Amino acid sequence: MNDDQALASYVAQGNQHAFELLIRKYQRLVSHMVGRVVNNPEDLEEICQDVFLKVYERISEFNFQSKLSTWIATIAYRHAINHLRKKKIEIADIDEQFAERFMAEDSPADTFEETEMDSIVLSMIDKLPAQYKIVLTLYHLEDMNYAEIGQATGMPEGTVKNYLFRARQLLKEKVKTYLAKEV
Amino acid sequence: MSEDELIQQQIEKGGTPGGTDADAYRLVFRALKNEHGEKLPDDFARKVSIRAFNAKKSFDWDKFFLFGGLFVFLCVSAYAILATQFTFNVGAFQFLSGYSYFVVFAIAMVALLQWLDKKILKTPHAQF
Repeated sequence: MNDDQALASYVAQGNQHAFELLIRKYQRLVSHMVGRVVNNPEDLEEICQDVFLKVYERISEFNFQSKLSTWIATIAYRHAINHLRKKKIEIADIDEQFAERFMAEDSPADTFEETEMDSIVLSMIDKLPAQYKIVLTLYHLEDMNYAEIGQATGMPEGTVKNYLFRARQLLKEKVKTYLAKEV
Repeated sequence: MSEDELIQQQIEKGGTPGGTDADAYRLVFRALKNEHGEKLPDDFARKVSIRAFNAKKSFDWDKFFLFGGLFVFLCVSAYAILATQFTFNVGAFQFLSGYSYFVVFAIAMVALLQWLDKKILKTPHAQF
């Protein structure tokens, strides 16, 4: 039995300390995922809390067919997407027109001239569709592979790979445009 | 494989391709390693674990009123039937006895709708 299996089984038996440890272990993952699509700090905390309450409610059903982190990421993904739906924010608007709109939008740097390049790129990421942001976050911050991201989001591996490539390519084009303006 | 795919792969593997595209990609990859600005409070884990366990321990008033009400209703009905020598062969009950399956079906439908209502209309953010 590995650490996660032991932790999950303690939580399922009603051990509060184990649950607190589980939250500490995975709150970074959940806050990264939710934080990428939710900008309001109060919403972020509330949604993260709901994610972990759902984890607690369902932990006895978890059968370790996937990693615990992937299972928790699945719950976080669905909560984040549900939040966007409730706020009536467009979720899947990923087409050629999106790329044109994205490139045509003013760069955030136009209004924050003094900010560092990382902040500028992060502001550009904020403008991407939620699916792109979540795939980027899981891959680059959580070091998940295509299969794990696919499990967490319900997307086919090919789509994950395509979103990752396309999102990075769009960001690169945007950065190039910004740098060209600056020179 | 397109040039963009090649550059992305090379940077991921730690390579240092040259050119303006590669330079822009390096900036993107570096930024993607940055964590999101908003962080959860330090006591987040403790607060959530307490809330989860308190919710579990808290008394379920819904069930209390449902089963309590049902119990009281059955007791009062039994007492009324015994006290009044009531039979189902009078008045409206005599009429309804010809449609007993319909009455049972209607009661079952109302109960089902109530159950679905409770299941579907959950609290916000609890839709996993």
